[in-house]
Amino acid sequence: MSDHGVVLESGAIRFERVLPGPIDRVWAYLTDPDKRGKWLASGPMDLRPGGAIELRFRHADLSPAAEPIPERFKNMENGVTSHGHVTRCEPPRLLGMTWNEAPGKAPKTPPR
Amino acid sequence: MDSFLAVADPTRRKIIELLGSGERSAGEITQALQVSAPAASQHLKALRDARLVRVRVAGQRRIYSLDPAGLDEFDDWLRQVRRYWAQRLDELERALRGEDIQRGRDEK
Repeated sequence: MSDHGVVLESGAIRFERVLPGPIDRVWAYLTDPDKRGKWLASGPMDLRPGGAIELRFRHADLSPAAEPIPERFKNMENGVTSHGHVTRCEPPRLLGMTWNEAPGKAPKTPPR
Repeated sequence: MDSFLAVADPTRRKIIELLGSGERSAGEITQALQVSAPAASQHLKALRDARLVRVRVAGQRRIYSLDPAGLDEFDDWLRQVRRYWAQRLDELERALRGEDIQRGRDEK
């Protein structure tokens, strides 16, 4: 396991992280808008395959330590909403989702 | 095609490895990969479009080499993605542990 992320043949990067349980609490931090907002982005998530997702990023608020924002994400500094869809939903073990889709676009093939 | 997709292909990664030890002509690359000339040519075009390799013409031959600027850019991008997610997952872990500490206080 590597915090660094593993580049896969498919052109994806895989990150693995073991998180402190219980698992239902971890699930809540992925799906509850307020809890998710503490580490990634708030916003509603329709928890069923094909359900719409809105991710509201407020990177400037996220961390007490002012970390430099990567150049690629600089446009998100003052908040940006990203749209996506739930691709897989098996609470509390598996959540698949897309983001950065054009609004109103149909869900893509679920990433594995 | 972006550089990420360009390096996702094993044949194209072989080309990058091959060029890592020095520039090669199109013919040498085709031979080393044991693929057809059109296939090699397509892979080289994808790598060129992604700015990972560059080409110069020497007489009848096309000589390929790595494009340092494009490779650095790709490397920077990968580093940023990795740092971004490492930090986000750190925050998630911190928030979860924070709840444990809070609960410990409440029980006292």
